Amino acid sequence: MSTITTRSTSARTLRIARSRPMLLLGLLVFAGLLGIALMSSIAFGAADIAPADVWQAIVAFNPESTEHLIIQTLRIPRAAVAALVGASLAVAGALMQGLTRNPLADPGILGIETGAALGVVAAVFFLGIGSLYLYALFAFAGAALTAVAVYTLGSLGRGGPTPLKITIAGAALTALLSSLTTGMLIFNQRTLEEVRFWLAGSVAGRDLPLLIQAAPYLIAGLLLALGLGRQITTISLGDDVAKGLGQRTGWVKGLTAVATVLLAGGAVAVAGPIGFVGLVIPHAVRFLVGQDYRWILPYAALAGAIFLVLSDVAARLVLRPTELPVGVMTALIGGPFFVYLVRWRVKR
Amino acid sequence: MSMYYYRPPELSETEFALFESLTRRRFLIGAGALGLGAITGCGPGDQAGGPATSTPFAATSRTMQGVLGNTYTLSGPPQRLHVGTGPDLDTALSVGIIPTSIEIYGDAELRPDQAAAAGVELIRYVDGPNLEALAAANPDLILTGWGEDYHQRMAEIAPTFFIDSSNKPWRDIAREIGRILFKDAEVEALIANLEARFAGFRERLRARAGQTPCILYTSTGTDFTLMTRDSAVGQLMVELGFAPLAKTGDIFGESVSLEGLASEAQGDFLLLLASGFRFVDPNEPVPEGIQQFLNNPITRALPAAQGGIFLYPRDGNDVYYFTVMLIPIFVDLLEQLLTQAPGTR
Repeated sequence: MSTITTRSTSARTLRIARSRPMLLLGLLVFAGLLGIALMSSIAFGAADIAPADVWQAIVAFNPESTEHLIIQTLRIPRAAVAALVGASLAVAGALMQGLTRNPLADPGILGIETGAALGVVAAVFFLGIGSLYLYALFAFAGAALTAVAVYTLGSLGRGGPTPLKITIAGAALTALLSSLTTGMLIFNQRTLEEVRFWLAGSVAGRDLPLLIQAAPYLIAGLLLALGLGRQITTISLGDDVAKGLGQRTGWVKGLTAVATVLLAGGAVAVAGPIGFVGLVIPHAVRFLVGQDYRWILPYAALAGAIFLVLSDVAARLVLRPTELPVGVMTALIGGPFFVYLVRWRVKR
Repeated sequence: MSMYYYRPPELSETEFALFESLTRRRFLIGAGALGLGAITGCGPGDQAGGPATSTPFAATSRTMQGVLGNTYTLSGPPQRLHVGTGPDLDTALSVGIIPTSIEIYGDAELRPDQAAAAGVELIRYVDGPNLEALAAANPDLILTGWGEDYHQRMAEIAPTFFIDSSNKPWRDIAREIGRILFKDAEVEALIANLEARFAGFRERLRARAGQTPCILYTSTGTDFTLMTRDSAVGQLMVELGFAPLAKTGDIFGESVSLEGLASEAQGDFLLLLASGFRFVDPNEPVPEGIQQFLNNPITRALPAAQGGIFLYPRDGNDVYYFTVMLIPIFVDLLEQLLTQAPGTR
């Protein structure tokens, strides 16, 4: 009897916690946390800069001051890049998990990170490209082409694009492209040296023009994804259910793939492959807000941004003045957290 | 703050080929065309650079410790030498021994067509040495600097010696290899020649004596290694009369972000060792990532940059070790760079 009472109380608590007003309030709280994370990112770094100087650099920029230059040209763009990339990766991961109904799915399932890496390595290997702007261009092209190829392969045969076929096509193409990338790196040490930091995933050295170059893709992807929340919720229940409810699943899958390419392709283009954000954040958010993608997606955007901004701050501070690539830090934080999450869910 | 770039001179086709041969990448052709003395800066009749000078000491057999801690008794210079890393290769070539096989990693610095023309087999290292190819090359002596997991099997092919070269003093590396190759006298002559070069450098650039260079290495323009006094390049700069920054961290150098450089990049001038160059094309632009770093206002405001930024186009492994062959190239380029600044001579 007491067990039934406890369960009913906890269900009621959960219902209240996931009521619309509470979820809206939660979004505001997350937005506030993102603001704090961004301020931390601007305030802390390899150089010791007094809070007053940080404030002065924002409100009364003096181009003669090294401290002001650091704040304006390094830390602010970097914080903005981390926030946008984190939001994009987390939303892309949530989309892929919803679409494929695979809890381990992330943008990598479409071969996006592998395609981007191949694009960059090939550009350095064959064309001697040595600029982050051009890296971004080739990374995006590689990501988009690979995603299209995976989706096309996964759509062949009867039944169109099914989660299983897309997953298999993605795994096969990822293996192929990874081999090509590895081959090029083995045969050209210079290429490896030049792309080493990019391949580890980093937001260091990313400036405002680079962000402006990628922002349209990322923002368009975010808007498209947020508009697909209801459809993803339906399709995450299964194709048959979605069709039974009158959903045109082909269109939804196609638009979701486009949004994923814009988000993950743009993010990888800017920052290189950063793992765990697309995998861990949607799970953490689902724990908070339930299975409704109308809430999962905006929460994932904010949580992903907070996670990557704070990971980047940690990457700058743990071995100061040495910096770790933020991709290493997300793996260090995300890995154990993911194991904890899985164990917690199994226990329940 | 001024910026100084090294630019190879405009060259005719023949001169260009000659210049190419002076880099390790194209060495094997150059060795034939120029004679080894040209590499070390000595004339053909010079004792210091004369190839394969025999010495009485060389005839005596010697017992030395091999890669597995065992001892080998060697009776003379190798007839079929296999080398695994840059220091081994450079030293062997500089004392007049052309290896029969060379292990290459990554893009290596030797072109297969040139190696084939010189009768040298290139054996690619991919996650380990290619033991089958190595055995087929039938060496009578193996010098290696890596592949610890494979030493046992390498030692079964031929007497094998491990040369640890990372940031080790260049004289020690050269002497160690010279002893194994029975070329002690030649190595000593090369060392004496280089010491004379250092003395000449110090004399010509005495206005910079005791200055502190901030030595940075970068391949991307976004992440940097601050090379310490204990690093290979730092040790060489000390010999050239400078006083590089001493750091307490890793002797290989300290990894620093651009933001970190604001406080860490101290010194009288900034020596930027930048990779991404092909090195021999006079019209080659500075790689874009490096150029962006040079254009960055934060770079220009760095303390060490106030004495000038000297861009050294690194095109080999001449950052983590130095050899008797790399040193003359480095010293000459450094002199050309520094003397561009007013008041240096």
